[in-house]
Amino acid sequence: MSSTVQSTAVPSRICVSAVTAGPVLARVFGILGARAGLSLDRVSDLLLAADTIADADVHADGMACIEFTVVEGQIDMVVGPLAEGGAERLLESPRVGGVAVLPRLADQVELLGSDDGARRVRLAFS
Amino acid sequence: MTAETPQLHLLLPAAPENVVVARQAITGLCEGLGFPSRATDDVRLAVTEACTNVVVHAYAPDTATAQLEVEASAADHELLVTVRDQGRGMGVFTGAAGLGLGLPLIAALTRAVEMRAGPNGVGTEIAMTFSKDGSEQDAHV
Repeated sequence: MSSTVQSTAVPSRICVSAVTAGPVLARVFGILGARAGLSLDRVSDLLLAADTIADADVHADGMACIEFTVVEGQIDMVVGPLAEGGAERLLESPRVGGVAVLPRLADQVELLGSDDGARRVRLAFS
Repeated sequence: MTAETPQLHLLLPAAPENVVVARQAITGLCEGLGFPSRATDDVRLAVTEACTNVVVHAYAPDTATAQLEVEASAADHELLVTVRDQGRGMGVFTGAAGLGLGLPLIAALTRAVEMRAGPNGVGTEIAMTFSKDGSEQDAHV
């Protein structure tokens, strides 16, 4: 499956009201996974990650914001800005069978700070 | 949520592969807002046409900063979707041929539509109003 490498100066960013984030993020993550050429299993993982992010009560100002980059075989995304303590909560819950969901699904997880003081979470899926 | 607070804001490179991202996002928003399937189809098609116009017509070829912006806000039984670019503006002949059906199609699918210069006179934006119940349309371009 072919994929697209985005190399423009314009970022790719989506912000959606947390109330309606579930179906929006699921559809967007699905199309990004397909564009990256990920396997069906990994696209399923992306959809689960979308639900986890959408359902988490961690988003600043009630808006779930995600900046993403799609390259061959990989999707990088930065979730945030997040409410105080939201980054930690996003990574620690929900837990299934005692295991946190997002760190299990993503290949890379990183907590990021920023100039505006809000924390963000970087996730990579390949 | 007020109409002044967008429930969806997308900023993407104005590239063909991102039209489908906008299409999927607006479809998901309609689902989340409980739009019936026919109204969702209308929103999806009109937004796809507007985004395609940005990709095809708004910018000179190989513009590195070409961007596509989509905002959507719901109020009462209406959904307002604005598709915006920062390109060459209206009235510039791009040389990109088309059937010329995009705007009439958008007008037919919306309850109201307005095409105008973008903020600070830069680029173009098209503001489309949709009825949740798909009521009688009175749009004009």
